[in-house]
Amino acid sequence: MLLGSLPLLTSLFQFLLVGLHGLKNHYHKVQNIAPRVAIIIPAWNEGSVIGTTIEQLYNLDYEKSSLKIYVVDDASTDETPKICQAMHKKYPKNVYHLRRENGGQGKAHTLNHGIEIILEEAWAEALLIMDADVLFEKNALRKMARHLADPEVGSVTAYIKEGSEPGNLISKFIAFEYITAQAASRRAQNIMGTMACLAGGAQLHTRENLRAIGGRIDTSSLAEDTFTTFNTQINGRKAIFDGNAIVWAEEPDNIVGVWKQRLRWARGNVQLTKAFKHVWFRSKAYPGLGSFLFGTLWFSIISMPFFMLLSTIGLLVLFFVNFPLSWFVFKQFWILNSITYLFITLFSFGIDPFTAKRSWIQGVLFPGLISMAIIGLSSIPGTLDLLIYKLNGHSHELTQLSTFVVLFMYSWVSLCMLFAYWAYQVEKRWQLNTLAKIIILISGFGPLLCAITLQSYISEWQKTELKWDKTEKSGKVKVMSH
Amino acid sequence: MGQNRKKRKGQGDVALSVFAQEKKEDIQEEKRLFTVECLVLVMVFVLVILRELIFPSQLFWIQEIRAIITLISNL
Repeated sequence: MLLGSLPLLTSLFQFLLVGLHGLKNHYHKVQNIAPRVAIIIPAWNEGSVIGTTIEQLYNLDYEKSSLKIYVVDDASTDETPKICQAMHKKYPKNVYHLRRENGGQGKAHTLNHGIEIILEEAWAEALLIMDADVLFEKNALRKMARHLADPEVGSVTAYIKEGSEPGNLISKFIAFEYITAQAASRRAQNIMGTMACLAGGAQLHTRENLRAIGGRIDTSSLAEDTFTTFNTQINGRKAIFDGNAIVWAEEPDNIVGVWKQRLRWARGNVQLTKAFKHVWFRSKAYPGLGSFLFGTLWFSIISMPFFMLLSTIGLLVLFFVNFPLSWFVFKQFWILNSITYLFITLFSFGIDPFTAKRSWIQGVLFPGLISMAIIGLSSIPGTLDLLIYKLNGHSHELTQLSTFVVLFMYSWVSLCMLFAYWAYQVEKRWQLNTLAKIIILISGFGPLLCAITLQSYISEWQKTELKWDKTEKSGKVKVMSH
Repeated sequence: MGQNRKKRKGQGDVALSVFAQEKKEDIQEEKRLFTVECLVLVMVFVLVILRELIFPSQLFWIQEIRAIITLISNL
């Protein structure tokens, strides 16, 4: 049970660190610099978005003479090459179209094609790696670049916001999730001095940093951005998050899309955990990444499904051994859950009020209706006891019905993942999108992410083929005014 | 690159006031988060205390806190 509470405690700890970012941050080391930046956009059939993205980049509030945009076209079969060539004609000094005739190997290979060409020339002082659908706010690149004035900094990442307009239930769940996973967590990681992951859609590297990590992006895994982040820090450079440099991206708007994207990320994280096994909990050799604190945070996140299963097993065993004790532990666990939920949700709304305004319902419903009901019941002392008492027919002896309800509540921490998986299957197999969304509302979006993490371990264990399943973009993203 | 950066610093001079303004606003934004966090923490703390006052319960950690307060006050 104690292990089951670990992810809650680590989340709480990270959120407690966020406020300290007001007292300790990197802003006192920034300077007004405008290094020559080569922007690399890997593109495979991005015809619906690439034109807008290039226009947006060209119109950034940044020295035009210090900006070159390289679209690495991964053998696209749509109108991507045509659009890129037209853009090159329009902005011949700033836009370049690099074509790979044999593509399909994934983002990392595509990026390496561009990085190799850019590093061969002496022009670029910094390289911005981004995605084809990401739209930068006018000052975002300038805000990122100012951190490079500190020679200790190797890379900087921005705050990626979900920007689909009008958006739906799923994309708004992601919008809220990004407040917690980026705006909050990455500020906490700035405080700790160790970054877990630079967002793949907006990472600015110094030329020296990219050279130091081998002049290329790791191609062995599905989490190339996290590998780059770890390698940057292992080579002794800082990775910084600037929560005020804002970029907008289109995220999946259906459960199957989320599953595909997050499974790739989660498998990448499992691969990375194995690849960097020499780093974990070895703070002398790897200060930061090897610290006890960072290791605990990392493993509590990637092992969350197992902690949830352990909680359930612990409670069920205790139920048969000592029911009153199991009931007491269950209530304490959910009170801790309630406090964490209240603090994280309210604080997230405060961190990014603009996004909160768009997706506050999804923020409130993030844990799902059943978890919320248990949170509500455990928040008012006596109600859970009263519920069981009434189900017992006003007796203290457990009946069949009350036993079922108790066991269901004890198991819910794990069952919610099963429900989320069911929602995925309902959408994938029978295309019953509305029903799938209702199931997600009941089971929660958080449990869906945990179910995907669990699936990633199964896929790794079964050695399922590593496929670069690109998230399909429709061009719905836009820069939203604050 | 460090030298290049310094040399190139002049390029951004036109926008020096913009840079300073943005930096100021971003620092203020981070300070705002600190204030928001304090407010939310106080709010959650008040709710927990209210819960305890309205519905005296068997929360073991509240009992522990009470025991510690009693211990300190008896010193």
